[in-house]
Amino acid sequence: MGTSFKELVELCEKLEKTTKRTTMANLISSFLKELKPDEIGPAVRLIIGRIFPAWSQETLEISWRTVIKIIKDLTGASNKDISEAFSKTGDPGDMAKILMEKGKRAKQTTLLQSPLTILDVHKYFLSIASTKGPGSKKKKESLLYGLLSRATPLETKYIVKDILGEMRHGVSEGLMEEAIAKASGASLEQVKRAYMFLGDLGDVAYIALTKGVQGLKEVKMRLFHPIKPMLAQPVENVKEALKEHGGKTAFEYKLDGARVQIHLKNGKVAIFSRRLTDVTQSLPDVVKLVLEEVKANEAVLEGEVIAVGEENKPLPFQHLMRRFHRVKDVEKMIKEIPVQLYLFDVLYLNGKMLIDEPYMKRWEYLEKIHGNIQLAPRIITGDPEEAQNFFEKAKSEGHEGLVAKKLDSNYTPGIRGKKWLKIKGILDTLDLVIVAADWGYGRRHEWLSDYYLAARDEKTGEFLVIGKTFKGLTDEEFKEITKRLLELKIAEAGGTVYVKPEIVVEVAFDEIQQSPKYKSGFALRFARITRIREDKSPNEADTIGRVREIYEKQFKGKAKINSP
Amino acid sequence: MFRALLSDARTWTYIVDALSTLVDEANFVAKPDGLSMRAMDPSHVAMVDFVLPSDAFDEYECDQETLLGVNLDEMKKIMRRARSGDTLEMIYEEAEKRLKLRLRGKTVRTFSIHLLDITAEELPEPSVEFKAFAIITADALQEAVKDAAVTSDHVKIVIQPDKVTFRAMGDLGEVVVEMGKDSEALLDIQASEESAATYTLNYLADMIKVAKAADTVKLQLSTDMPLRIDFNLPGGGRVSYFLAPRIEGE
Repeated sequence: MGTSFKELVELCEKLEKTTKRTTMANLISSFLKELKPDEIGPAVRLIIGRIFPAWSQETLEISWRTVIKIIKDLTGASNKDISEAFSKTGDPGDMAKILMEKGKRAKQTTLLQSPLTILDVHKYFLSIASTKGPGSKKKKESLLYGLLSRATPLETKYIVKDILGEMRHGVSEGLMEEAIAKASGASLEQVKRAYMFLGDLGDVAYIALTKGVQGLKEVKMRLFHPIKPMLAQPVENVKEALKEHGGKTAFEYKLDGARVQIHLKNGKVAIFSRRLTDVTQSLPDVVKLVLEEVKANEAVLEGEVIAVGEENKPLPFQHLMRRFHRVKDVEKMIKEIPVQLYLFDVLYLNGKMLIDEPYMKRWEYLEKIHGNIQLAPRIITGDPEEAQNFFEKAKSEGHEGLVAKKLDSNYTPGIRGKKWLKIKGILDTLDLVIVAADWGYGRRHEWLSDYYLAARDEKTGEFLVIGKTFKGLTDEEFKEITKRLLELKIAEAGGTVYVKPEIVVEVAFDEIQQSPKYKSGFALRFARITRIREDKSPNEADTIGRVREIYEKQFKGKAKINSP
Repeated sequence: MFRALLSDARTWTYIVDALSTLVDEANFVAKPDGLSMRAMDPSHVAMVDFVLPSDAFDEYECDQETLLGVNLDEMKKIMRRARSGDTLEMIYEEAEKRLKLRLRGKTVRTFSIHLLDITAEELPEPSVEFKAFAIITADALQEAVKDAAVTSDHVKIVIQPDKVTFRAMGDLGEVVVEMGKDSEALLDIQASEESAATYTLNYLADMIKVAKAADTVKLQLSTDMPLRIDFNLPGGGRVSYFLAPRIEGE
């Protein structure tokens, strides 16, 4: 008989009530030490709410609607019960617990009355994920139904949290690393290093606890298991970047495309997106290029894939996204949206790990093996003026800006540090009207915190939504706006409160895209509120015409496929 | 070694169909006295217990207990290829860890599938004391389940000394199917006390698929306890299901 799932959820309850890091790490550490070897990985994954590591292509593919449907079926809860339980707690897991405690109408029993074990729950999740193809929706549903039938209300709370991948008990990956180090006697650095390569804390914990420090030391990068990309911190301008990097640095074009990690071994190639999704099938042209050009038997390369239009100018990001994740009619899309690959880093080469090598050294390796594949345009300079000119050039060619890379820096997977800095500059801002808002989650559950932003259609006077954001406001402002919005409330449905258009906010964004999602035909990418425009009435808000203008302006220096 | 021959391949098609509704992978156990399988669906709501004794086969050879772990979906795909009049021969290739399925009709077609190592815990038969049973025709059960599905996703089965009733209540209406002592569908009935329990139709709908291969079916239950359904296969053998009830609250 394995360790019961009840013990795991009781641990999570304790963690939820603690805020002290050391106490939390100690709790987890002693819990892990008591487990049987084959329970360690599953337990770690269930505690942090990551059933599948980021590199894995597996997902549960189960909708929130299905979860609600099952809970309703098991408990007889009405929609009203659900919204009451939800607004009381603001947390789907707590909501499920309340409903299961109160639920009376009917309950599916099981043939075995044995309590759930950690391995049981993990196995249910694996079965749900591996159920694919026709009829899988029903099968997934009946699996989850069975799991929840066997679960106590408290267990249900954490199963729901695991499904959503949001535990809210404050155990970050970093804290779990600490706990694993504590439980195994390894140093935090050793644990972190193993995690960089394996990308799964469950595996790391298993190795640390069963094979100790030596086991962790032997962990190597696994080809075709992508590692998290290193990230860049934003800075205002090239001067700041130069200052930060000690007067001289490498500036590379920040190409307006999609970042890819390419794994190559003896004629086999896999391409992973920034989010570590396998996109190989959508990019056979890139695969071919890598096979033909890269002079290495084994390599892990990083680069950017950009879509190109006329005169080899980059097409807007959204067109590229039409290529990614596409598995049907790939050949046709290759013609319609040709892409180009630019390389900018090499992390592994012919059996040798390169991430601890300095940037300059890695670039040297890259120069030896890239064949006819272009490298990201770059300069190395200490001259602010030269850097600024290079920035302007990148912008005028339709790219996002520059990335500054510290010359002696190593590669730190998954870390957003100061070794890499991005310089983008921002487009205009828009003044938009809030026309609806969603109730927030967690800490924000008492606030309307996710806003639908609309521009005015100068022809009809109608406010048309062009984006949604929950970013940019302080707690005080959320409170204030919530109060005002509730006064303006017209209707509420499905967690969305529709309001009279009244409040105007200034919104910054990274890009305007064409989008079928909204009636307006446009969507903001990465919108965030920069100010509440108390001084503006809805009639003074920006118009769809203005939105279109900015949209067009983005194409200066870019090729176009068709205008909206 | 294991080898078995069925003169009507379709019997096996129906059996595999029935088993595959509950589990994707499972172990058949071949013993000198016959072939069996017991498997629980992953949600532990239902269990299937299948036995086909050696004399239900036209030819049967098995010298020792052998576990045959199969992917039932794969086996189902193969059995879909069986044509009316085909015979089926199953042969276990020990050296290759494969099971051969040979369909013999106008031509001889041999399919082989890789066997899987499936670790499954030993399943005990649920120990339930049944207070009531009814034997009805397989057709009648099939029809009753389909009738109930018109209005609801679960059905209450009531066995009284003189009749069995299927009752389904939905938001919009109610369906009642009765089989009394005068009904041709009801072959035998006994109830030491009136017994009733509610079961999920999703599961029942899957279970009745095997009705095609059976003539009669025996239902056994006690109030709010699991249901046991036995389908007796022609020529011996049976497929039994256990299904946990839904407990209705206030």
